[in-house]
Amino acid sequence: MQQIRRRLLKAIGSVIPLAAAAGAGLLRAGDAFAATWNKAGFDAKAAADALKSLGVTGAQPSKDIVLTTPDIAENGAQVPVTVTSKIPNTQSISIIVEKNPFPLSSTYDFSSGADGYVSTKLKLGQTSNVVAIVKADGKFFTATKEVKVTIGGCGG
Amino acid sequence: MSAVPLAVGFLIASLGALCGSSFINPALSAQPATARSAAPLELEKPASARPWQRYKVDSQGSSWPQTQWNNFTNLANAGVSPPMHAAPAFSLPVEGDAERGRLLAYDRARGGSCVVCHIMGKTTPAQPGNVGPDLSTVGATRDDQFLFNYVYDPRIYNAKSIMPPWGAFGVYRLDEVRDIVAFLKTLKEPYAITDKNENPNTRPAPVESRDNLEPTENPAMFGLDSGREVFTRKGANGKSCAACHSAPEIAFKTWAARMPRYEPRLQRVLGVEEFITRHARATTADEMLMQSNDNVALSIYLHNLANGAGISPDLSSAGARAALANGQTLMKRKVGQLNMACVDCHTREQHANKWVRGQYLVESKGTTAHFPTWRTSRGDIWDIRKRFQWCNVSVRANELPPDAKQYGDIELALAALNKGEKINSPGIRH
Repeated sequence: MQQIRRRLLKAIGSVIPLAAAAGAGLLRAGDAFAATWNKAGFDAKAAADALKSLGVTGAQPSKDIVLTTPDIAENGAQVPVTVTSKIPNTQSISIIVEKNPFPLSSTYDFSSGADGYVSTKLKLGQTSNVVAIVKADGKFFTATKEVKVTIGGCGG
Repeated sequence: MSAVPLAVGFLIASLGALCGSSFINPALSAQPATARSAAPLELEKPASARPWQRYKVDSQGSSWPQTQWNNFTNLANAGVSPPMHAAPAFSLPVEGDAERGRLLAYDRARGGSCVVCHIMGKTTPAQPGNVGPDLSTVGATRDDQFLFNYVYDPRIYNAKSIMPPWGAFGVYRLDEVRDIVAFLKTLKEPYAITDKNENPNTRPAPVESRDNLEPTENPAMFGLDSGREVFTRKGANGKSCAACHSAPEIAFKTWAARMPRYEPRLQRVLGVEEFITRHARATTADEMLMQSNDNVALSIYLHNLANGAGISPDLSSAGARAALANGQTLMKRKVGQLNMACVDCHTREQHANKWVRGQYLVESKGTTAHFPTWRTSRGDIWDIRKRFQWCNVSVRANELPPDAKQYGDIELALAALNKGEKINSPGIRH
């Protein structure tokens, strides 16, 4: 286990100099960190406002987005969500949890040629639709799945 | 002349005794493990805090109910709960406020609510349970008298019912029982739940597939690291565990799988955690009370060293067999304001493998080998005694201190039931 952690720390360590370099202004915004913080999106309290902040218009459901979630999440605090976009030139993946107090959970930007793949854990306040929004060649595509969050019986 | 053989004999006996103990230098452990030696233990003091006080919150802030249920039976005190009695006189037809009754029936804050166990017609909220029968047509099939009595105390009609005596044990006042009956009387149409994940009769049982030994997945793995540190750290008298147990990977390969065990010096069952407290006091002079961080960490480390070993409690002594029998009896004792026994929900003869609301009731077999375990719903590492305490509190019975004899007996009974299950610790569960 210590070995695994060491590898992990090493991996994290290799990222930190990059972040430090960016923080020190050594990298121009637009190089490694193209995205600016989407304040309006992450502060939005309704899914529609979050979508607006992303500039989503005319989004089409797509079978080329594979959204993997459990059907039933025993624990809403840690719901594993994986999004794979097979759409060519995927630029970004955003994940919205419709019923969360702040529906926009995250946005991931992909530099050209990167595989459109994200695996993360999300907090779900209650049973909700989870929506993956893929931006590719300036167009938007979506995939939606309902995740039921378990309601306890005896309390644990 | 006779003094020499005697001394040699004594030496052999001592060696045999030492080697019988699994946690002594492995170079000597080629001897068959026969009579277990007496590991040094402190035998006088309690192994957990006194007076015992219930946890306020778990480490990440999940709170514990603070109510005391002194008027109800628990695992230490039998015969405290009110005796069976007839419902007080009520007038027929039963009149009440059906809408208030519906809210009570669906209210999680009171008694757990009826939908925890029943489907209740078309207004049933999300994820009903199926421990009890579907009540969607109960208003068409049962009369007022039956409904009132049954909600007041189901045992009036059905001695084997596991439903709490809502009225008799004071979870609901009589006017609330009338309201609930008024609501039940409105239930007259069958209700089919078509969503298979919503219907408790078709909902798939949860499968635990997370990698419990992956530290990025299981926060209890950090407890393993700190347990290893506690093991090698010098205690109050300058000695560490490692000073005597130089090759723990070999010495403890199966040790935790053979716990808990009956300890004749205490005349009761010792689990890993209580053993740690008492053995540390007697050897390193460290004070590691049960439920302290050090104790739980060391328990994780010692269990983890036995990963893969099949649970095999020693039931050969009369003391162990008596403790086992008592543990099995305690698992059948109805406790708390909800009047429930372990076996009511966790044996397949009763209601295991059914749903209480969205929560799945597991069988007792298969539920011990992963302790101590990370509980994602609580954000805390629980040893098995803390799990017992939570079960007690959940059915509204006062919990016992973690080193209570009764918990030892139940832990032994569970170990017997889980014989052969492979230790896999630290676990991760909902």
